Amino acid sequence: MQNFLDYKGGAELILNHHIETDVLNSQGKAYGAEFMVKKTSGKLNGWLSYTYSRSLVKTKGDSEAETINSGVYYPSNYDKPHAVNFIGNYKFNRRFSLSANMVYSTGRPITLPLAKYTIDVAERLLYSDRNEYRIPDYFRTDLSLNIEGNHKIKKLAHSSWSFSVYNLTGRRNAYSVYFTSDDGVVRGYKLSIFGNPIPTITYNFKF
Amino acid sequence: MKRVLFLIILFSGCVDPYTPPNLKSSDSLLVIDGYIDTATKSTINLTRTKNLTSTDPIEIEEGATLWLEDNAGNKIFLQEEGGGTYTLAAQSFPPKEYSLHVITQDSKEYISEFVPVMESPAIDSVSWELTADKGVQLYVSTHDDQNPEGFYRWSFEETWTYTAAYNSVYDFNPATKTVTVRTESIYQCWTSDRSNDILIATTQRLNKNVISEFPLIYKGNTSEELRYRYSILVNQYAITEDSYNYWQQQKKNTEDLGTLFGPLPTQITGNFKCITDPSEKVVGYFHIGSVSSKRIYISFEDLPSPPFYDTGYSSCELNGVLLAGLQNFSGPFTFVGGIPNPNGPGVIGYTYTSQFCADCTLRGGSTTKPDFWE
Repeated sequence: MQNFLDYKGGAELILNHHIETDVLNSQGKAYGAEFMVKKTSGKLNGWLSYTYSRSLVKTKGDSEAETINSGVYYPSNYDKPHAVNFIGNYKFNRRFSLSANMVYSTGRPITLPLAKYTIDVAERLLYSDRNEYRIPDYFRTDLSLNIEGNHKIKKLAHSSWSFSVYNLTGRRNAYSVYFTSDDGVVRGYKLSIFGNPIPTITYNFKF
Repeated sequence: MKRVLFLIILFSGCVDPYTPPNLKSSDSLLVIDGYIDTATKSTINLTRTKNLTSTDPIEIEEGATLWLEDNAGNKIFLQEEGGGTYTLAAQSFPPKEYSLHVITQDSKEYISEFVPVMESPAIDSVSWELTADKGVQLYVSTHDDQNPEGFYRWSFEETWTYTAAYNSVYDFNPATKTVTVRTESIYQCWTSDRSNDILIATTQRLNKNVISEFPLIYKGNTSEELRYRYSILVNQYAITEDSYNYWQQQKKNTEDLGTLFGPLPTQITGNFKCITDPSEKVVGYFHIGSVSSKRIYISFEDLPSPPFYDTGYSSCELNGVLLAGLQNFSGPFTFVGGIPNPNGPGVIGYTYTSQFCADCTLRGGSTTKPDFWE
């Protein structure tokens, strides 16, 4: 990939009036493979897919300040090598069916503060290489039970109930990872959204 | 209401502590801190990086061999002074390029790039002005006629005098229950603080190599530092462009940490490299040059008096004990003064306060006046 841009080290990301001075021309490359197994008929149906994909960047400028990670390929911000999706439906009878949905993906890359040191009486932070680490992997399971209405030919509307749980295992998937400095001690935090199982009840009708 | 509660439950517990994969202790990196001052004795400190969550004291690197090498291959060795400190006695440096070599106890060798000796021009002035809110803003100004453009770094040390909340005249001996006149005052102290902000400027984009009123620090009008007499010693270093870029990155990396508008952090290590293991990183920037310094004083007479000073003694109070109560008096208190007899000479009791409120050394200062103090 040509004309790929990445930020300079120390770039101002927000409210920067001259963002063009804070980006570097980089080279990108992306590759991967996808596999999928699908069953469309029968009481049990669904699919399982696996994707291996890489998205890498290389920034090697003329000077040290225009080079990231000494000019070798590093993961781009969107690099999630492994992604697995599973969807399964099981039909008990005409009225009841159960569906499960599972999503897994590698956490996205992040630049972490690794250590601290003291120079010229002040404590400073040592960061890792750009995108050297990853936030925790993402995994979520959803389950739902669907109850269809009766099949009378003459009725006002056809209705169905659906009882489902989003994030059944309550895994606290990281939405973001950030660091704050409290009284000189740097602490890391992981923010997760929907970190608990969320039950929902849906009533559908069509007419 | 219930729905609100439900939402709170849903979202509140969602920020968890997160510990990044720590550097293994064998991975802790060497930190080379210090510079070679061409005018006086120089100090280089060797330490190690530590984990983010660590509250241990800084790990020092002892038993290393350090030397300076000029580009003709001459070596000047540094002396180890213990505590990870290595020194070099004052000597003259021919205007060559120098590199610092470090061999640690585990026989790893680190070298810096060759850097020129940077002579700092004299500081023209350290000045201050009253701001609109009656605070004090300090500035430094300099110029250099020799070089068309300059890169500068400053550091400073503030020294000020302060007093405890109460002047303790008496001393109470809890063993003998007697009160004596205090021989050494613990009322007035001097203390110092070094800047930890990164103060850098360049004249690269200016017509002339002149720095006019570079802001150093702001003191609010209620600062205790300005209550009696305040002094600031400013050190100025002329640095190379590369060094300037290093400090600028360093400033971005640490001073705006964790803010919403903060810049993108980046890995910066400096101009050292490990030649035994090229993949190992080293932290530090080698600098050699002269330092120009200037000290000024600001007295309370020079400033408008504020309504109060932030002394940290605001909760201090005096209590009294009568002479008859002395026998049963105990506790970690410091006697302050006598309660005069309203009907005649002598005292009928003493006032006392907590040790903290009477002993200024408990706040880190020293009752010894610094040598330079005027």
